[in-house]
Amino acid sequence: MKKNKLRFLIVEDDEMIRIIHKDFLEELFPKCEIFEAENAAQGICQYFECSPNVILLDMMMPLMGGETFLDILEEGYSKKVLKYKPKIIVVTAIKDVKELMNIGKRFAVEAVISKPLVQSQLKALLEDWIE
Amino acid sequence: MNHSKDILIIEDESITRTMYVSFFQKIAPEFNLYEACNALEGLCLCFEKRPQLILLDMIMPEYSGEFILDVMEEGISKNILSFIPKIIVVSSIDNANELMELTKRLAVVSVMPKPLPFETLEELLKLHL
Amino acid sequence: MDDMNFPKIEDFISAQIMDKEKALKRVQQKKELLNRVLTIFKKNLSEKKETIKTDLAKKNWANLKLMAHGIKGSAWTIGAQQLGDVACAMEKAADNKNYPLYNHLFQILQDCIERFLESEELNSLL
Repeated sequence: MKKNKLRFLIVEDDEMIRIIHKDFLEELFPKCEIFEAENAAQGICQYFECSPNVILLDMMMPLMGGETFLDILEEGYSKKVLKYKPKIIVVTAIKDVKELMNIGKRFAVEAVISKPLVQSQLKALLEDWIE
Repeated sequence: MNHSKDILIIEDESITRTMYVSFFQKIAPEFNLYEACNALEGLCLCFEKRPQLILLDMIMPEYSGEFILDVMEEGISKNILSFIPKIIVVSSIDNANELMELTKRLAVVSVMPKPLPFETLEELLKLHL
Repeated sequence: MDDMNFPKIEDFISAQIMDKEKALKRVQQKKELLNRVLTIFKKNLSEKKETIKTDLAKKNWANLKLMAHGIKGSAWTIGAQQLGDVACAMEKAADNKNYPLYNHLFQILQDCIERFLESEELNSLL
């Protein structure tokens, strides 16, 4: 992933959290592009429109949640329809350990972080992936 | 890349799907045909291939045709999608109100009954393609 | 409908109007970011209030739940505990399509919004 061509997608229904995460990313990578979605349906549309490298994915969202988002991408990838595999960071308020472990095993999920997300966690993860 | 020569068929029953494929091969041989056996694959193919027309079965296990319409609605109403497909929905609903609601869904251009009347479909294709 | 069992505003105001420490921690002490977040939160509150009024008249339960859910999440994120708690109760009322309860809680919410907007805690952050 090249630093000057970074595209992030934030899929999160809470607008306050979207603003905060966006700020964190903009500070870490001033040249990046950031796309937003309030639910999995919007998220999937944004994914195909904008081809983000990294996705910050909330699990519990009204209308359509993170599980559905992952289901769609997983199926697309297994049927060789997706052009590329993004990196997904799940940011969730879910506390159940078993659930969290299952999410961690899902397609393209690189990390599962408990809310609230701290900027240094993002930095540590992303620095590994970015040239 | 020119996407105007693509048709996507989203139908879980393989025999029905094969029937649709033969029909389109006969009626519209110049078109590329894509097939999806479930709504998830269908959604991915829809966005990756940007077909001119989609034939969508409403009743599918796990994720139904309704699911695809819901995603379209969000994508279109929030101005996220730069491409809006034309969807012909295939449904065995016979309730007039429900049928009307289905016709009003975003991206839906027509609602066809099951089993699909091929003559009517042929007319529709001439209209939309 | 017997509303003697409905919650009263006293049930909610024991919670904090605004947990400044939590809010600042959330934004990693970035005051300017918090200012932006709070400004948008205030604007959203006012818009959602109006939307709820319209949706209540139409008894649009899907939207009424969505509004309550939205206020709850955002309020708790920024440390507006009272508001979040009331919105949480509203969301449950919407799940049960309980019009009198939702309406009653909405009145409490509006009171709490006033308290929130006038609060020293909020205004010291803006």
